[in-house]
Amino acid sequence: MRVDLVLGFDPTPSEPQQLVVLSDVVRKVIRALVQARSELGHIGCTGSVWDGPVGAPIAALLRRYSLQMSALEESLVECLQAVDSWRDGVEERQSQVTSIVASVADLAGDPTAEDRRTRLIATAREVGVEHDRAAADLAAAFEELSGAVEQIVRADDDLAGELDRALVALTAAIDDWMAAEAPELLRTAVSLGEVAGLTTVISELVGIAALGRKPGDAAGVREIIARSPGSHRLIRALRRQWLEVAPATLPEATFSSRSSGAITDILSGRRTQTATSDSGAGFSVGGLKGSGE
Amino acid sequence: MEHMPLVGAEVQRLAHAFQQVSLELASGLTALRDSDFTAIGTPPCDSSVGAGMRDLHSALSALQQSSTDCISVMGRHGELAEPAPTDADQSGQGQPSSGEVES
Repeated sequence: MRVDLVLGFDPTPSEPQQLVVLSDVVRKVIRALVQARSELGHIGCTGSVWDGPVGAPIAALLRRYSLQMSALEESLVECLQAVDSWRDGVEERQSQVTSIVASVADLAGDPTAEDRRTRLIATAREVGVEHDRAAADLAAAFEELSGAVEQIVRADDDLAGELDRALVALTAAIDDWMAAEAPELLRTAVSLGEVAGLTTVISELVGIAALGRKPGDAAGVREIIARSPGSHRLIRALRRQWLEVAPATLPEATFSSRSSGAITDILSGRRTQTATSDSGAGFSVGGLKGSGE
Repeated sequence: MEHMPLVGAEVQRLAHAFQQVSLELASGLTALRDSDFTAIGTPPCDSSVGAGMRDLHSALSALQQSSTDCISVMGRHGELAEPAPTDADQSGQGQPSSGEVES
């Protein structure tokens, strides 16, 4: 029975099937954002390059990128809660209106029931007012989402440009380090006299073979080193020099933290605060820490 | 001689992370595509919801574009993630592959 035909208006417009679609889409986007942030959270936790000054700009830009996704995610969670709350309310109000419509339809053609019909329609209007009020809450959640997006867009980050500059600086730092250390490392390598074992150790040291290992897991590196007698001399040389390159005061780069509170706070001053609040993590040399000596 | 300890792995992990982020954000954009957000509630409410979802699409597109740009940048700095060729590589001699342990 069509509500608008019986009452002359529809006090509770909403298509339940559309609400299911909206809720589903918002949920999927939230999941995608959480997964994306988690991918960033998986890197930058292992020490090594992230502890040094050359890695800090990369860690900072990743943190900022992660915070943008976090702000969007937070706003979407509020939207999802608003949609779910709206769905529950719509179901209840539409059920009330359906009941009113059935009663009004039953009274059709009965001239003595005019007062009752009027009262029923007035009740339907009250339900409509309540519906409008709840709709305003839903609208507010999505307006806040638009506001969060506006701040992200306004930030106008040149993430790729910053990354490029940071990688150029990292390359330069590596070149400097190699130029400075090459003679001693070569002497050590030659004195080891075990080319195959040394190659394996070097692969581990530069991290090519460390992929897929859990952050901080140095067991594999220790195992390799244990199988390469004499390689500790090379490691000592690397460690000594790398300690000088990487000061201890730089923050450990973890991107998994998510601050709570208003989106505006997240995107404004607190962003900087959050970005620096993890600082002071102790220095480690990644896979080299505690290895083989 | 190779690069600094673990730099190669971290740079590879970074490139991989950007690729995964791009894929995840693309899945979010796919979820939004062709969705119709009318008849959610009252007309003003529909208007706000529709605008919010359009803005969300813009934001996701921008974030995904950032990750795509970063993937390109990482590609331009590929030498950071690759081991420098050794003398043996250059002369064609065999070397154990990464992580391979001599027994």
